[in-house]
Amino acid sequence: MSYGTAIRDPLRYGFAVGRVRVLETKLLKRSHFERLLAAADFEEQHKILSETVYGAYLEGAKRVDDVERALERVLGDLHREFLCSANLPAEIAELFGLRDDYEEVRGLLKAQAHDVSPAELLGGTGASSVADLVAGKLPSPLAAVYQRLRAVVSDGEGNVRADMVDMVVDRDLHERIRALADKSHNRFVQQMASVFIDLANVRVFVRTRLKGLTVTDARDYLLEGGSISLKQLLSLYRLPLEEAAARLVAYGPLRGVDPEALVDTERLDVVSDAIVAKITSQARMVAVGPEPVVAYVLARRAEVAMVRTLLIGKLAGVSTEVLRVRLRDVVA
Amino acid sequence: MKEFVLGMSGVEWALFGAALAAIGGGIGSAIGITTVSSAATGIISEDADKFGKLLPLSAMPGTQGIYGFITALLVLIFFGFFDGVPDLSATEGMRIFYACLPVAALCMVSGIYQGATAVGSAGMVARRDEDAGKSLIFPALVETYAVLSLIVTVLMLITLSG
Repeated sequence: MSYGTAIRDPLRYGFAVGRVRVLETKLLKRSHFERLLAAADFEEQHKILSETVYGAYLEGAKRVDDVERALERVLGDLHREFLCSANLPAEIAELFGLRDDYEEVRGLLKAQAHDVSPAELLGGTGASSVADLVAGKLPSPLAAVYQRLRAVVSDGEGNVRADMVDMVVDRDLHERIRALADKSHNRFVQQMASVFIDLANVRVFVRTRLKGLTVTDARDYLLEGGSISLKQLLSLYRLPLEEAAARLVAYGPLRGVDPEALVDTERLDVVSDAIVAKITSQARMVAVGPEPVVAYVLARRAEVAMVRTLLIGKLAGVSTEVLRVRLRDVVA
Repeated sequence: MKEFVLGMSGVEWALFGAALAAIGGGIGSAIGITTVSSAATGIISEDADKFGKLLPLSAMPGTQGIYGFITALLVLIFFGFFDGVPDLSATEGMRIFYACLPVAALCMVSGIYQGATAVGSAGMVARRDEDAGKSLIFPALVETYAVLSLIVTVLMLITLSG
């Protein structure tokens, strides 16, 4: 640790790291996930989670919608009660809130494209409440993003093109993540930004490949700035998907991933969470700095994703074996 | 005795050394305590019961400031500053200045790093109450070198005052 880092990092991240050290003890353990998996039904899962921080959120939850809303509240509180009050440097706090805010922009744009009520597509996990978003009361930075992206995805008559929304929102989100990571001047945060871009690219790679898009079309959806270069991705694009996946797992953060999980769109998101969890597990060991804070927030989000999979899977009657495969991907 | 080295008299060199020891130790302690306290307040904001266990850790980097203060006080006592302005040659003053340097430099550096080490220890306490005792050991190891610097400085000052 350099002299400058020894002084600067504790002052910038000390308070947040202190909170994280306590909050980490409240994360679900592997035994919790095993019990949730082995539970006979949703009621039993509900009982297991009542002993944890999820208990208060899931009170009265009986259906898939209730679970979705409860878990969105968990993520919303993570944003409001931790990120907004942890005295983090502005660029780091913004980095975490960014994804949620962009999800709301995505929801607003899709609602316009499909001509449905925005309330149906908004999660309420960002900085603004759903009511404000529905009423068009966006905070100034988000309003500017929304206006800019709306202009990009609109056709000549001002109608939002649904097929453009995901690509444009993802591209803008990751460009912003990259810019904030560079501004943080922290190697770990920059590495994480690079991993996020890699994972976004892999999702695009698999989905465009499954849709049968040409390499030229796929290129428009892929992002610069990841550890796997566009050139490498495009060179693999022409191969059969299984072979491409087998080669992709030799690159960057994908090393060691089961290639079959990459080509299974249902497992891909879970695998992405697992990759992020693996990278951040080392970061938890750092005494002070942005690493433990980033690791905690990502671990909490991965945990929520896993709880969602297990609860909704059980409600939907997904077999224990299928759920176990997904659990293995995250809690290996 | 009118003798100057680098434009400073013996009394000025002696006071410079004493002041530097107090300042160096004070800076190290201030930064060290701020460092560990910021993490401790984060922990206490989530779990107020940890206050008692984190207090010794937060106070630990404060000793460097005390060592700097002791050094400055010893210079003032040993060389008769409380009885008026002493008669020190520039060479004698510079010797006193050199004697103060171990505390001035090492207490500043060790105070800062002790604070950084104590943040890690505070993390141990946050996870497990039972580790509160063990958590004091690692920052205490950093303290060793501040204590050694004080011993060296005191021995040199005793020699010079004899």
